[in-house]
Amino acid sequence: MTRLLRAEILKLRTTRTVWGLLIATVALTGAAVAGAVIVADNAGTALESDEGVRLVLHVSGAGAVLVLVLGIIMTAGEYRQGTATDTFLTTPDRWQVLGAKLVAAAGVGALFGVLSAGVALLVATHMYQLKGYTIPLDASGAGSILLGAVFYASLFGALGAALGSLVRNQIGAIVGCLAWLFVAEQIVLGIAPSFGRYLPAAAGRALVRDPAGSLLTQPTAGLVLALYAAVIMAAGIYVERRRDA
Amino acid sequence: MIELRNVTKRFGATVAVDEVSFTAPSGKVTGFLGPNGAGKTSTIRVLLGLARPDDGEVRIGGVPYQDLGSPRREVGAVLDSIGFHPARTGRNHLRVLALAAGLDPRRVDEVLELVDLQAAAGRKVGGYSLGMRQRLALAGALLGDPAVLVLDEPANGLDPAGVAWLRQLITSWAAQGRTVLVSSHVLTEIALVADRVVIIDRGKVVREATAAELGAGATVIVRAADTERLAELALARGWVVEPAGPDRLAIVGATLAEVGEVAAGAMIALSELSATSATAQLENLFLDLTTTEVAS
Repeated sequence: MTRLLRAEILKLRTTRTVWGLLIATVALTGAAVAGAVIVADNAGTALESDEGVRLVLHVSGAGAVLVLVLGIIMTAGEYRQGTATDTFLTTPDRWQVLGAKLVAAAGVGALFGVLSAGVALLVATHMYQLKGYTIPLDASGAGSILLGAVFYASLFGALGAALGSLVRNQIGAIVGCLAWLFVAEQIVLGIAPSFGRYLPAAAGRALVRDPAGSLLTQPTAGLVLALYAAVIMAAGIYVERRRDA
Repeated sequence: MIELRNVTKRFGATVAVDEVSFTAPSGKVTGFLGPNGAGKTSTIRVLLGLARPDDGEVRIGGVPYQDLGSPRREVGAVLDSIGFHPARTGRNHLRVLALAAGLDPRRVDEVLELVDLQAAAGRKVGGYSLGMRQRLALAGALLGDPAVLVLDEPANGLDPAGVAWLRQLITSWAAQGRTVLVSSHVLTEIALVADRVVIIDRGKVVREATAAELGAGATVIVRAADTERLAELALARGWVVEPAGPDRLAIVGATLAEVGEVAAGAMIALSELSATSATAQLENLFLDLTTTEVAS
């Protein structure tokens, strides 16, 4: 299993995809945090209040969707490039292959999350200074938000790997996910918020304590996302073992 | 050794592989021949655990592919469905395979040299020609130094020099005692190196024979120092002899070995001894298959 994990990491390191997504994540997070400070300040929100900190720092999870895409590429991408054949020739047990991918995606996702949290903290600190404030790191829940961002990215990575193994069609999976997260789920959330908050995008936002709407608590949101990833991956493995490569 | 017993594979209502049984013994090159769409690739995918058979059993060295302890050390495969990430270099592709299979990373450069791809190893596969990709696939198959090689249409994309090189490689592998199963829809690629052939058409095995069996009763071409004497001896044995150009004879009714023995017994030096046999016979069979396909 360690071998397969290392192979998954080597696969990522030997193409540019992961680096491109990493740069995009850093840029997106930095820009989102800077934007959030300006928007909150213009709207008259007290930046040093708990709400102000939440408004600014919850966007540290902005890169999670890119990790989701990375997770999809790690599994469905093997079918797109035709490398799945070699992968399954090397390891005929598909459970092992997909298990390694799930763990690798969650691990790489966590790294993306740590980087996002770091960038968010750095940019927020500077932006607060620029506006003449000091970000109240100890008093507010800043730490729990940034930790939430790490879990957010990690769990979305796992979710992406799971979805990609089930769907196999990389483009279809990515487009479908984005449509679900940004359109379909928003509609459900609008119609039935008590149910909608258990859906992936809302659970992700709950992990970074998005102040908008009544979302789940951080631990519940984390469990819900982990459950999604586990169930979809189990379905992926079940189908994969019965389906021709 | 590779064994297939009553392998059946259906895709919906289509029976792609219909109770296929054959054996590919160790130390021999087994040619797996058939027109396009005959079921060769489906059979091979079942053999390698990539597709599930609807019925039947496959064994490699006595066990199903899925139960091999270290598949890449035991079986090397080249399949058309093996793809490469276009942005990954050839060397990195092999490094990934070696790492996942737990093989010595030094093997990567060894196989790159073996398939003559060192110069391009640092380049992205997206820029490779079809022939270079085929060599890279072969390198991947050889990575674990396996005792069994399964090659599905390995000559695709290779230029004539590449095909000749491949034939030489296949022969030397079998000579080392390895099992080689090689499929092709192009007859001459395989007929020259196969010890045995299995011919498949519309999912069914229509002929299984050794090259010698196919050769019996065909034409032997011989170039000898003393054609007159050789012709006399051949006629005495009841063979049909015809001149085939200056100091060459075409003999029908004998095997290569028999003609060689007669010449050796009479101390006649030979400068050529060949048979159009296997190829000619297979060509006829192939032609029949193709003709019926066109007719239907």
